[in-house]
Amino acid sequence: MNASIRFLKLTLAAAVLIASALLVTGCWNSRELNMLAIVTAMSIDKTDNDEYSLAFQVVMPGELSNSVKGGGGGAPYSVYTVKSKTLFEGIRKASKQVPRQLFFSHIQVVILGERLAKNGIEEIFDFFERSHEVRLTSMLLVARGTKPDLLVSTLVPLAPIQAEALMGSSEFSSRIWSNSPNIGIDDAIRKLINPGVEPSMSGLRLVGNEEEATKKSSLETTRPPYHLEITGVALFREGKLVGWLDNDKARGYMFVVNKMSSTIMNLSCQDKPDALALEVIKSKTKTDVSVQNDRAKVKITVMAEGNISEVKCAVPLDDLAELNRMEKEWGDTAIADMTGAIKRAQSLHTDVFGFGEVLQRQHPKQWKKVESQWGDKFTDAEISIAFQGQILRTGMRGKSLMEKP
Amino acid sequence: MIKRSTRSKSGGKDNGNSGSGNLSVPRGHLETGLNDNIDRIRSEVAASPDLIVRRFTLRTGQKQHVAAIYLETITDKEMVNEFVMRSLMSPFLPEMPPENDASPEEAFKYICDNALTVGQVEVLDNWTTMLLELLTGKTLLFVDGWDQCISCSTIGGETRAVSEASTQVVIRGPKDSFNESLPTNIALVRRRIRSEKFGFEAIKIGKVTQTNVAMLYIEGIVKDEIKQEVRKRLEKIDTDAILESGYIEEFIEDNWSSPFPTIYNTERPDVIAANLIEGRVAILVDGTPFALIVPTILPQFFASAEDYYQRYDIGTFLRLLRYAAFIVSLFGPAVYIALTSFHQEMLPTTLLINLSGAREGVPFPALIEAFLMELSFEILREAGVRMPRAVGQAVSIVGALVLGEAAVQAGIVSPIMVIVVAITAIANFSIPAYNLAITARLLRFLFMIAAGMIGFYGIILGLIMLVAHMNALRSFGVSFLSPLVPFKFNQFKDFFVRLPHWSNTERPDDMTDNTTRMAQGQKPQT
Repeated sequence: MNASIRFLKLTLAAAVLIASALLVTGCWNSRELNMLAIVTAMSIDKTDNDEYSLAFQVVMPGELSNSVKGGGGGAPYSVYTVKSKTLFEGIRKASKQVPRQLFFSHIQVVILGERLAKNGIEEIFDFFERSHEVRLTSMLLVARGTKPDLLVSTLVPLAPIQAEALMGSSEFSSRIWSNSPNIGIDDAIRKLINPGVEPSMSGLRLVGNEEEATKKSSLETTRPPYHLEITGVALFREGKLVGWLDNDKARGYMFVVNKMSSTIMNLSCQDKPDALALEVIKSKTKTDVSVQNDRAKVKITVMAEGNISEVKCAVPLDDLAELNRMEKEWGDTAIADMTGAIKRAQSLHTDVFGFGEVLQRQHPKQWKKVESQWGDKFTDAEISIAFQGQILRTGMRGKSLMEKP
Repeated sequence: MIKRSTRSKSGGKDNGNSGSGNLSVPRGHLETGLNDNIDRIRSEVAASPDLIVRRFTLRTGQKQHVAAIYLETITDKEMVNEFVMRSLMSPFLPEMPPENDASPEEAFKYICDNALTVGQVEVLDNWTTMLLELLTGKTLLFVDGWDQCISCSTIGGETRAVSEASTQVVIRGPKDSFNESLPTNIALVRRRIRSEKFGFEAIKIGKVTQTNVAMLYIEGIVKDEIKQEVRKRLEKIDTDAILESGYIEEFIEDNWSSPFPTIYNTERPDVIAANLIEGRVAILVDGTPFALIVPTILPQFFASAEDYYQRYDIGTFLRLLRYAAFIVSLFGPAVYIALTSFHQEMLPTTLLINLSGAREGVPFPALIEAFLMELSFEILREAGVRMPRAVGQAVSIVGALVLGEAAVQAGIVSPIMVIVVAITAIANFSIPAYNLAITARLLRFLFMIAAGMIGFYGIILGLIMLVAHMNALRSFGVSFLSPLVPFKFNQFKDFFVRLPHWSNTERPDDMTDNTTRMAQGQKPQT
């Protein structure tokens, strides 16, 4: 009898304990969807008096979702701006303006102002790693010539959520144009910490009429008076923006860091310059770095495959010699691009290609010796590039239209 | 053929409620006088205008008074007239012993041995048995001056024809199913297993109803312990009525407090046969088409008879689908609640914004919303099951309109919630065993509460508790999660998957020591 009462007591105690455990955890983390302000993009810049100027792009789900009747009419998102000394302060301060809880887990894009970038971006990343709310896969972009909060507020056609549009154009252009890298926060942080590599990211520019960019009416025309463009590669040294790579140099950069997936290169054709479009469909870059006689030696080997996509002259495409000539010219152009990119980076003393990282992997002992002065070693490194291009196909048509029999 | 029926319920442990019509109470020996017997029967049986007493004398010149007594509502009148009355009154009766004044005993023996053209005849001498036989639908023959009676099996009355199974429907496979008559049901099984080892024990359970319960097994395959355990548990039942096998199930199951059924039920004779051959024991109850199978393991609830009749690849696919459906029907709304009120970061951005837009203006938290919808669906489903068929359509129209369109239009629930409820419901319908499906229906609400309080953490906590509980379940000594716990890899051939019949050469060793099902190496040669 006694034993059964004791057992009952024990069971009861256990039950109470378990139940109270449920209560303790409570609903501390419960937040209803309609109490959340989903932030999809955010911009960070510096003001004159060394404050952060933050802008949050908050989506209006009611305007976006077609299941809600009576939606539409308003802007698909609104932008809240706030000034603060620290990032976290700014985020909390913004709640004065936002009627809901700001929710940062879905930030797709973080746009850094040029001014902040020049002052140094190292200090902002601590927040991104420390906070459990933010995800590290968000894409980083550097505002080029425009205030970043304006970029965050710009309405774009085709994608109701602008951040998704930026993600989309960045991903697509890196896939079929390969002129700008796709850099996430995690990637940037890794490169900031590692002494053998410096961060680099794509730039974002607003081209056209800035006034109209935040008005929904501009989306009602077929030709919005402005557009957003992902352009150029921002180069950082010790966390500070020091310069940009553009056009051919940006393409060269993509070749060197093995991020080239597909691009179009124009070659000459029967003495007509830029008369032949070659589509790079596959490219693989192998980099070897070593230190010999106290000088860094970088050997880059690129293996690429391409198709001829357009011909504006009467070149006989079934002529192997002609194809060989094209492959040669292709190689020369690509090597020139890459050399240009590397030269520029060397002149800025910043190893954005991660040659130091490669050395660290391939020859850890040599790396130990040069680690402290890697910036100088990189600057006067000896670069040799080998390019093996192969033209595989010439499209659905053999002969050129202009080739007369 | 004279058959002795097995009776377990002798009146030993009776507590004296003979007044309430308890046929397990001993009532002593039959009277000698014909009139005494008839009078006593009339007084013992409650008002029954269908009690027929037919008096006559044997035709062969003697003055032997005989009476046939039966309840006309439950006897086969055809049989009584043709094989009892007519044969006794026939002018062509074989010769009686030459003495003109045969004693009552001789007359009785004569009737018993020569005069009856009925298959099953039994000699009874005590009141209890005699009344029971009468109430079963047999015809009793009394001879004046003799204290025994003859019971002729003339059981009749209406039974439903053997028809197609209504709960476990198959596309390919036998279409017959049990009905409410125990002999028919046993016949359906016996016809499938033509083995001298197939046997069954009959037990009467229920003091008032005296329901016939049969315990079927195959000697030589079934483990003796299991057989004895089943018999022991059946004999322990002391209740007034058994109206359905569900009554028995609750008396003999291992764990009454578990939401999981540990006894499988089916109305398909082929399923019973297959399970008997694996060494299980089937319990058939008179008056219901649903038979019980013990011991039961969880995978049985996910198997349909058709898995074994269709090709094994589709059988495997469907089985995996059913396991998935079970999980969906258990966790569907809970996962929705957890995702939308705790773990928004787990959703793709576009989906989150869509969900958020759909929930814009919904006044309730996700948990309440889910409860509202789930409850109204349960009500709708219950109404659909109980409604007369003619009004059924009205229910579906109202349900579709109110639950689907109007609730969303009114902004009480979000359209996504409607989808979640619908998917959950459909998943629930695809579980082949109804009693497991209702388990999922109940547990779903617990998981919803857990998810509403602490999100996925709660779901996982609940899941751990659920698995621990299932692991503790036993069905007649067999682990409910077998062959997962204890882990028996060779039984996986018929678990999540169904491998071809020729590869599954061994019976599961939980229920039988005789595990050889067939010879090895019968894989068709290509």
